[in-house]
Amino acid sequence: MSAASAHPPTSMGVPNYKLWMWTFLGSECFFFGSLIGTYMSFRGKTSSGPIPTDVFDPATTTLSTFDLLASSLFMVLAVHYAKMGDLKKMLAWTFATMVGGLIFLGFQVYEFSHFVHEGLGFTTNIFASSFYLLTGFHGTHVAVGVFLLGTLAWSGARGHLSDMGETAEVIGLYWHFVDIVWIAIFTLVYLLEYT
Amino acid sequence: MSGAHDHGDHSGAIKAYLGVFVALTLLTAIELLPLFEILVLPGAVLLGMSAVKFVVVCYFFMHLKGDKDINKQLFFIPLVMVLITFAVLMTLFGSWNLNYPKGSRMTLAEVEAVADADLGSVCLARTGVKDCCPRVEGKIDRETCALVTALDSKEVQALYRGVFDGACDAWANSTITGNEYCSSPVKGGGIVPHTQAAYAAIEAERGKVDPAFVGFDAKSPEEKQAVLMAKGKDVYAAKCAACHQAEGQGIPTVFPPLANDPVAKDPAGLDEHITTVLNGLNGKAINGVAYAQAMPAFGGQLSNEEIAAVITWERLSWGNNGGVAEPAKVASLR
Repeated sequence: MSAASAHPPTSMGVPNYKLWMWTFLGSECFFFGSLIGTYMSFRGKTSSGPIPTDVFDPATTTLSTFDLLASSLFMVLAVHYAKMGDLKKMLAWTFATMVGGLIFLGFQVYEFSHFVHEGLGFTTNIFASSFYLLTGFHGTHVAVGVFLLGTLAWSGARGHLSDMGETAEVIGLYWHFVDIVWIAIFTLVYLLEYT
Repeated sequence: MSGAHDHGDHSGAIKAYLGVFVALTLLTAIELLPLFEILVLPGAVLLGMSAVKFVVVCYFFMHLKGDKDINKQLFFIPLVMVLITFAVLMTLFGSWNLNYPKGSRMTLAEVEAVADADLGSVCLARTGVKDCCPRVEGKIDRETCALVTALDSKEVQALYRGVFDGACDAWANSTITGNEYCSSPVKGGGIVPHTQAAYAAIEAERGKVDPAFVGFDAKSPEEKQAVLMAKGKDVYAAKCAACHQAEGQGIPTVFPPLANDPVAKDPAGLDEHITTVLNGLNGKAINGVAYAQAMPAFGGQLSNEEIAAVITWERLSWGNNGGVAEPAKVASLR
């Protein structure tokens, strides 16, 4: 994409980066769909413990869920101010989003180590394997999101972005996708254990 | 897009984002009620709320509302394919009961009519857990099997999980037969009766307990001492000898000797000896000598058996006559 023009016309009428991101997110639907589908098919089929309710900690899950939800609000505000061309506010909300992501990762590290302490290794049973793969990949996505937000803040602050609004929007799409995957995981993996 | 919003639009957009956020927060708060046992919500309601949150984030935070059709298609076509594939597979295989099936109880005659090899799948259909029938010394306990078929998978899993969290004891003298059952060390081997000895054997199989200590409690005092001394010698060499030296002589003014130590040489010092190894020691004057070097705590590194063994070794070596330390004693002082 040439630096001279922020929006060269495209045959689709959609900026290329944004199209790229939506295509990627479509493929991510298959990816997380497979992981979640696998987890759900194995649900309740574990023939040895620990089982989910042995290890799940409602307080941790609650805090990390609200944390990620708040980060989603911060993200949408960062995108909003990026589009307004308000660099200061864009940076502030981007940092807030990153902090939210890092806190989420902290909770995940705590949760995983707590589970391992309870005797739930990666290959202990099918619940463990499918759970760690699913939530591990989600955590990896959060980490990548934090990195992308860092590059957004860095390039934005140095004035390297030809179209700050579009870059922020595309990274925001990714961040919100990670959030909706958590919405699904939160219900299917955690909440259904308590019905 | 840049600068396209005027100021009225601007504060309106922020208000809209905040409104969406408040709605999402409220939905999430309601979803959490079952987690803290405040309210019971059926799974379908939770799934519905989750779907609403999902769509709200897509439409308002990801701006799919009013976005170009191509973006919607790129996202929703894979999503719908995933949902349809999963739904079709679950329907074709009749696996929709994700919520832990519960079979009605089989009669003993019905269970007797099933071949051993088929019981695993009968169990799966009834309870959601494969091989739910207990085995006693490799032979399926059909009487208990019939009773187990009335359980749902959570209850069956409660039978299996004990080796990991000690729940076996909580499940002792169960509602089923009065027998105690625990997980089999053999994969797919079903449940085996849980007695103290069986439990130790299972733990040993899983590498949690030193095989030398299987059946320890049933041994004679002489056998116990032999087991402890053999193990203790190794533990001492690995963990203690670097400071206290091979013959327990220590290093004058740096590391205290254990040979002829007032705590180690006399049976009365047993408790203090155990707590010292468990928790470490700092600043105590021994035989009138103060040692600058603190002793680390070994409670987190060594099992009760290892600590009992090394303490026994120390108390019966180098002229000490402090007597045997048993693992149960160490466990009680932890």
